[in-house]
Amino acid sequence: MPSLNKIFLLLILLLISCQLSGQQINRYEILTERYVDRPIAMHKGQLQFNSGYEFSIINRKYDVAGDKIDLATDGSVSAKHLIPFEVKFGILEYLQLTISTEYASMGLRDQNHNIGSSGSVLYVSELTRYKGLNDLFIGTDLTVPIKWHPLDFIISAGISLPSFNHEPDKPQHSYTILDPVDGSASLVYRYNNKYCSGAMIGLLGSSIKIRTGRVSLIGSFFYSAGMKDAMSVNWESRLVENEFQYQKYEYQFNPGKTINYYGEIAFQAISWFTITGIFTGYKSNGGWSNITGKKVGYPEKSLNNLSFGYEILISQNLRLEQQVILPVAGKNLMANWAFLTGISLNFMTFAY
Amino acid sequence: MKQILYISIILIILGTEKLYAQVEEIIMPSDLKQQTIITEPVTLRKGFLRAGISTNFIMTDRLFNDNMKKDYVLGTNSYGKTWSYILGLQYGIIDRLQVSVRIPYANNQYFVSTRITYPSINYDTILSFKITGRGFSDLETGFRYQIVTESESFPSITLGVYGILPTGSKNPRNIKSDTEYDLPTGNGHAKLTADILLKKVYYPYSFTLYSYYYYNFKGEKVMFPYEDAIKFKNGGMIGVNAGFGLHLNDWIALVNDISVTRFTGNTYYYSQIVKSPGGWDLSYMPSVYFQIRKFRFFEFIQIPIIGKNSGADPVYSINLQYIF
Repeated sequence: MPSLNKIFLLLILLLISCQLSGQQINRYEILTERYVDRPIAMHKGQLQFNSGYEFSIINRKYDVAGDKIDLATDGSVSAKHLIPFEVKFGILEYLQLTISTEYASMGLRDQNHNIGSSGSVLYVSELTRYKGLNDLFIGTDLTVPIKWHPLDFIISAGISLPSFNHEPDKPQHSYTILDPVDGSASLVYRYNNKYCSGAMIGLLGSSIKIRTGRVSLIGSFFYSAGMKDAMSVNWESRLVENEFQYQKYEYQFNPGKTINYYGEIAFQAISWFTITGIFTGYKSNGGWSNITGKKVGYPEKSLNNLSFGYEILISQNLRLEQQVILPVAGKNLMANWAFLTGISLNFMTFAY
Repeated sequence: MKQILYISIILIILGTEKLYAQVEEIIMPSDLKQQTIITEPVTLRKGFLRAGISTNFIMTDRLFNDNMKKDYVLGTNSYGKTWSYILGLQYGIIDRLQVSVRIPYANNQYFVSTRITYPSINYDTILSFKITGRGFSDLETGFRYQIVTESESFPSITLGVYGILPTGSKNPRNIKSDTEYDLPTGNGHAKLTADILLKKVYYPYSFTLYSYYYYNFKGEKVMFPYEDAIKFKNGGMIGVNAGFGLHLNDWIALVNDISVTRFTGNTYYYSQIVKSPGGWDLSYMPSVYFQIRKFRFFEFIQIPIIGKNSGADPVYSINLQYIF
């Protein structure tokens, strides 16, 4: 009888072992899935952390007619540092949850202005800082259950919540007399803004992925709009006896409507190395603010970027991505070329 | 019967040991050329030649000021960026001694733009110009010698000595006006550096500790167009760097370096001597290395964390190497 028990125990252990190895293979296959084969959303139980660092040089501006202005020759080039944070989780095979934000720091310079008058010069310069975390985005992606591998189709909905303080800090303007004899002085306007907008924004969209042997195509379209008018503050300043005095005014604004579109072609060069070409576009209109005391509409803005990059599947848990992003066209907006290095950590959270 | 069994087991064990020993002996030179940044010795083996190209990008946007606060450069109206392309060659004379040469090509660009207004005479104009400097920069040559080779319990210790020769142009050239001329591509002075590097591998990890000193010799050059040449002497620089590397898989390695650098100010011998302030910085430098057979592709970003009178913007570097 004891020997029978031992055999029974051995059989159970064998079965558990087979099951475990089966799970491992399945997890491994999911986590090492080729880029072109992956669904747009996560698999059930897949947990993904995405982050990285994007360094941008804002060296171009598109005017109202879409003509390009070189900011290097304009004297107002700036740099931007951005660290994205994103968590994705596959609640079900066809339902994904996304939470994301990003930390950014940049200082936009305006062209310096030297104003001369009877032997003295006033040197005027201006810097507008944007720093901090962006609004928190919470979104869901619903995959249409098409059991045909070449096609993947998802519908997305989300909301951008004003989770962080968005009101600008008090400016730090300064007036310094450089030469008391001729009266030359330096005047520096320095604005300290936050990176987040503070407006609640709703988003709807859909994406489609077409998969062939070594090539995949993704097309996405998103529509977002301010869900209600938001409040912020504006600092007004005046120079009294070489010292700045500030006063804070509240104003209302609405970010308006935005359309984002995204196209991607990916080529699976080898099982762990994928080359990508991406087109992204952005168009916004309908926003307004009463910052000046009157309700004034924002001008229509647009920007189109092209980017080229690659993704490397380093291990089952780690993926590395790099992209060079270049602006190609736009309207009423500053543009930057950027260099993005991203990492993606992937885990399976429960037995699959 | 038992005796035969014992003898067989002993023979199998001995045979296995022998086989292991044989495996350790069979190391092909081509395999040695495919070692990664983690596993390779600090100097190239005898007869190995490594050729590489690298490109670096620097933009100046912010500085750590005298109060160690990261701040924007305001009131200067200028924007500068530097691309440098470097051809590097390293050769192993013996297993412990490596010589190297680095030939840099610089592409410096400097933009200035200011709006100038004199309301009393209805004068309003934008002064805007771009100065560039392209050409070979200062050549670096030197050697690295393993004083102590790495053992089970002790790290390798190597000494590096490098000289930088002022082969690049040191004065402004093709001067047409204050705003139209070519920037120099060299520094105009010789430099000598010496370093000590300790490295220990605990596969798949490696640890390095590196300390260096730069000594700058006195030089003479024209600082700005239409000025006479002046003598100058840049301050010395001392630094310590600690690195930790790990294999992410068999052919990708991630190396993290933290470095502290202290530099003394420069002296310019005008009719009145002018001195620039010294300072220091603490930087973090993550690097990713891809080893594809004898090819090595790597890139790093040097991110200044804190400092005094030093640059606060990242430096990007992309490199490709091949071992012959």
